[in-house]
Amino acid sequence: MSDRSVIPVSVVGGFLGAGKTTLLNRLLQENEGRRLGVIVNDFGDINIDENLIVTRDEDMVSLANGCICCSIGNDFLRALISLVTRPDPPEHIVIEASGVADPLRIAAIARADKALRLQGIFVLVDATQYQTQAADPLLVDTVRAQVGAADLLLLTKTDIAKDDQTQAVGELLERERPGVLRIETTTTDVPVSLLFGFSADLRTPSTTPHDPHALFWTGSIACDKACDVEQLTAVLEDCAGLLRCKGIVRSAGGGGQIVQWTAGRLELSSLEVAPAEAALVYIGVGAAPAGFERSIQQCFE
Amino acid sequence: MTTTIFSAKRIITMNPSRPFATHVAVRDGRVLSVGTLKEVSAWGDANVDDRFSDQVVMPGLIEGHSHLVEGALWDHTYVGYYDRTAPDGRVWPGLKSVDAVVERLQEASAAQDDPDAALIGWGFDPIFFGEQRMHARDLDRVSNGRCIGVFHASLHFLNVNSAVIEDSDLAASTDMQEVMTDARGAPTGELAGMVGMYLAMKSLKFDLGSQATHPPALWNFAKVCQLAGVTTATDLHSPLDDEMVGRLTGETDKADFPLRIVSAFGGTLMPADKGTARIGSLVSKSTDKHKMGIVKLVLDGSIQGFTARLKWPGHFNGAPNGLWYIAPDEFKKTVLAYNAAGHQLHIHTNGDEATELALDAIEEALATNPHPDHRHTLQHCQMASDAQFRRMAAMGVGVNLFSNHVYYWGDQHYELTLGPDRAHRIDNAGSAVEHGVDLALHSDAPITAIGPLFTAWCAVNRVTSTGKHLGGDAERLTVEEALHTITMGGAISLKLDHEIGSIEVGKLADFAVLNEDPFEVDPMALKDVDVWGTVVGGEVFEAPQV
Ligand SMILES: [Zn+2]
Repeated sequence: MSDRSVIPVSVVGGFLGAGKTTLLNRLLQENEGRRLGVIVNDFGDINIDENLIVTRDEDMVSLANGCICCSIGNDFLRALISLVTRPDPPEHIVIEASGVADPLRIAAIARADKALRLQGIFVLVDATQYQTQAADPLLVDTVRAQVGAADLLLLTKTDIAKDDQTQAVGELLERERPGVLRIETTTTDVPVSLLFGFSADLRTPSTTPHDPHALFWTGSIACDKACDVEQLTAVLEDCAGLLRCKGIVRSAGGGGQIVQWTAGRLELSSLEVAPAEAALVYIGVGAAPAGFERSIQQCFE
Repeated sequence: MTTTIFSAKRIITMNPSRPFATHVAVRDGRVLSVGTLKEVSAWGDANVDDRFSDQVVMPGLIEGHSHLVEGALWDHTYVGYYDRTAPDGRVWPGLKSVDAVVERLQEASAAQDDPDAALIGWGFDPIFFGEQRMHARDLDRVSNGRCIGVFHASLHFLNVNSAVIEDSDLAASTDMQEVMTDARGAPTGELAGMVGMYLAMKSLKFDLGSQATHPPALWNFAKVCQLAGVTTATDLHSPLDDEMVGRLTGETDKADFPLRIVSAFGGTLMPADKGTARIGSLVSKSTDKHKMGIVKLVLDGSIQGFTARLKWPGHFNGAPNGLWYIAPDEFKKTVLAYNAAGHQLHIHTNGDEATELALDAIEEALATNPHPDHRHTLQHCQMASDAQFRRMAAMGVGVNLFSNHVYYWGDQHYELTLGPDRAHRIDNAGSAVEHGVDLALHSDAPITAIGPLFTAWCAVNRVTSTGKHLGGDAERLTVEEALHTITMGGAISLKLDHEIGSIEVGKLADFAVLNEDPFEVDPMALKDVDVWGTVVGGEVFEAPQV
């Protein structure tokens, strides 16, 4: 099966009020030409521009930009299957997990189906609420499981949180998920197209009003030499804060490989013909780790 | 205006002022009079119908917590451990080994004409097979090529054959808790949770929820009820969209449809503001045989699935606490909204922590919007403490206990999920009665088979499938109390006690017709009392003779 027919799936989790809906609203607007299928808990909170709506029924809205938005309605699985089995399936599916759901259990569905590929689990954590939630005996196991499922943690509402609150929650999350990518931000600030991997160019996430260099470090390498993919994998896995890496490299035995790294998940797909141009671009959270560029270069010796 | 007088060996009325009689006069589908022939004849000309002269007539039995998917499942192959009666009256013997399951599926496969259509089994229960699990290899013996899925009794697990495994990405996803593996790390075909449900829907094209209100499934459901003496049964969580309501009204309206159905609206399927409007608009669409008005909320999972919310000390085997199906704060807001709008809530709580939260929510909602006779009811509520029953009694909250659990899962609760202390008090109907809490009992069909007499037997004897007695005498009901719960108890919990639940003047002429007298048999034989059929609104429905 060619990789093109496999639909990447992102799961957005997090407790009620963490900002999932705001994020999804932005996804639907900043889709950069990708036909997204977005499954939300409820239409009520999604503020879709009426002028953009092409068709609408009880559980599904089609937008002029090619995106489809489904509400879970009676049945989440039915909504998902109707998206996957459409004659024109979306290029990327984003699922909003319910506020009490364990995103890992939803991600499991994407992993069980050949037609789908789990792109990442993004869990939003409300900087103003997390300490309270984690101290509530009725909620602690629910929010811990959500944080535990994350490939990437988005600490939201840092603009209205007290400074020490954001820091304390950050420390709490670091203890629960040491080393897991974490972005401290606001929901209106996250460069969504970049996070979800459909930005055309990693270096210029042009549609976000936010200056990405304040939050991220970026880099690229162009190299015609053959790439040692095993070594590359090790370097990527070792790199703290690496959010995305993508590109095409040449293989030693001829041909090439498409490299896709998103929040801790590496996807490789083989090319029979060696690419005309070989290059990798990458982006990470925080400050660039020392020696990363050199380690990458060494993969092409 | 014809009047029919049914004579019977004995009529058990459940009306305390006239508990027993020999004759009941029926006019316009309702009970005109109950008593002796002389007494009921006083209303004028009547035809005397003696066909029940060897039978015992009691009020139509009420199943206060079941699901219409029971009917949809009967379009597929039953492979459970216990005997189960199909809608046509045929008893499918329980299957005691994997080989027996394979054999029955082979027969079903041979009888299924389309070689590409998926084959579905249901009700599978390997709990007594010891270490042996079903493997995809076993199902491959049924048929190669055809996709096969076998649902466990809980509907939470699914076994599939190699065709389904190959159609999926399971072989590469064996690190997930949903995918069971063998000694070599390969998927066995046993799947848990949403992964199983997803593949069932996608690869096996199996969509229970949407099939449940289609006419064949409705008729299957009605007939299963009829065979068990049930004249009113619930569908206790439904989207109740216009199409469904149309089908339900259309089918139940037919004179020969032998059942009244009470549908509860799934209160969290839409936000509470829309939900209250939706259920408000449905009430007036209720008909004689299809009633709407109840709102169902689901707060936690199941005890046997380790997904119920338990108070300290949690699961006996150390498993982590279960799941909220709705966030506690959201739940409180939802209860507040439906209570304010005046709707009766039936709330699924299995674990005692969920029960506690439900009681807190109801207490707050009633303090804000007091409702005399709200009749909010906790469903399952299997671990209620005396303190919780006391709160229920104080607030007028009723309970519908899952007594069949004592028999089917009692041993598992004792050994694994809850431990001895809490297993003894599981589904403690005696305590509910002691505290004066309105009590009903249920099967949660299709999780267990519909059969109120069996459910009553569970509450009277409190014996597990291996013969252990749980809870001592204090938690047992007398036969009289148990029969009250499966008639009047059900009616009260559905707010239909002015219409059904007893045989007395003015109420609907809904009867269960029995070949034996439940008061005369040994209490241990209560479940075996033979059902002749039912009467619904004066129409007689004899069970098919197999
Ligand atoms: Zn149920």
